[in-house]
Amino acid sequence: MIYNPEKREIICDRELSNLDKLTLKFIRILEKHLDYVIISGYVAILLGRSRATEDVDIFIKKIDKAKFFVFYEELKKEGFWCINAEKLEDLSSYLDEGLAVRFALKKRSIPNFEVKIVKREDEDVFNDFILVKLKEGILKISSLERQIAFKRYFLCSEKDIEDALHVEKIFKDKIDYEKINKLKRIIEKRRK
Amino acid sequence: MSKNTENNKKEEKRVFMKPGRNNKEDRLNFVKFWAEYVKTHSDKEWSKQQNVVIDSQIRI
Repeated sequence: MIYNPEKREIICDRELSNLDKLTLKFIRILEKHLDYVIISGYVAILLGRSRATEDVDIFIKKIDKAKFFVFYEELKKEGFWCINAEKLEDLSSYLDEGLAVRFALKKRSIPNFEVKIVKREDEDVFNDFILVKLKEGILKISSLERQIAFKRYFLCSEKDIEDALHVEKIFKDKIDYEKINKLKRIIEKRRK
Repeated sequence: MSKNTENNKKEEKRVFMKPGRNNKEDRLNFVKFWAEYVKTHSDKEWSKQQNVVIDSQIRI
C-alpha cells in the first residue's frame, strides 16, 4: 500500500474480499445520492487487519426525506433491504433521532451497512478524509489519525485498541501524532 | 529488475512473532506481527491470506 498524506490517498493493490466487493457495490449506490465517509472497523480491515466484521459503519451528511427516498428505492432495486424497518417514514425518523439504520442484502442480515447522520461535533470527518484507491473502485475513509484517536481513546474495546495499533504500525512514519493528540484532547473534553 | 521479481523478493522476507505472556499480550503481538507482514509483503500476498478470514464469514 502506498499512502500519500499530501494527496490524502492510499493506493492499494489488494485482492478484494467478498466484503470489499459488497462495500463497493453499496457505496456506488450511496455516493450517487449523498456524501459519505466510512469509519471504524472496516477501515482497519480494508487496510489489512486480519479480522472479520458484521458491519460497515458509514457517516452521511444530513439528507432530506425526498432524496433519501430515491436512495432507498435504488437500494431495494439493487437487492438490499433495511433490517430496521420497511417504511421510509420509519427509517427517516430513526435517522432524524440520530439513530443508525442498517442495510443488508435481501434475506440476509450479515454483513450490513450501518448508516448514520453525522453529529455536529463529528462533522469535521467530512474535511478529514482519505481516498483509498483500489483497482476496482474508490472508497472514502476517515483519516488515519482520526481512526487511531477514536478507537484508542473513545471506543477503547480490545478490538478497537488492536485496530488502532494495526493502522499505526502500517503507516507509522506518515502519521501525524500531533493531530492524534489534538483529537485525544477533543475526545477527553467531550467526555467531561 | 521486473516488478514480478521485486514482488517475489519482497515475499521472501521472514517476519517472526514474539509470543505473549498472556492472552492480551499475545493478541497484541500478533497484531504487530501481522502489520509487519502487511508492510513487508505485496498487497496481493497479504490480502489473499486475509480474505480467508473475511470470506469465511461472508458469502455473496
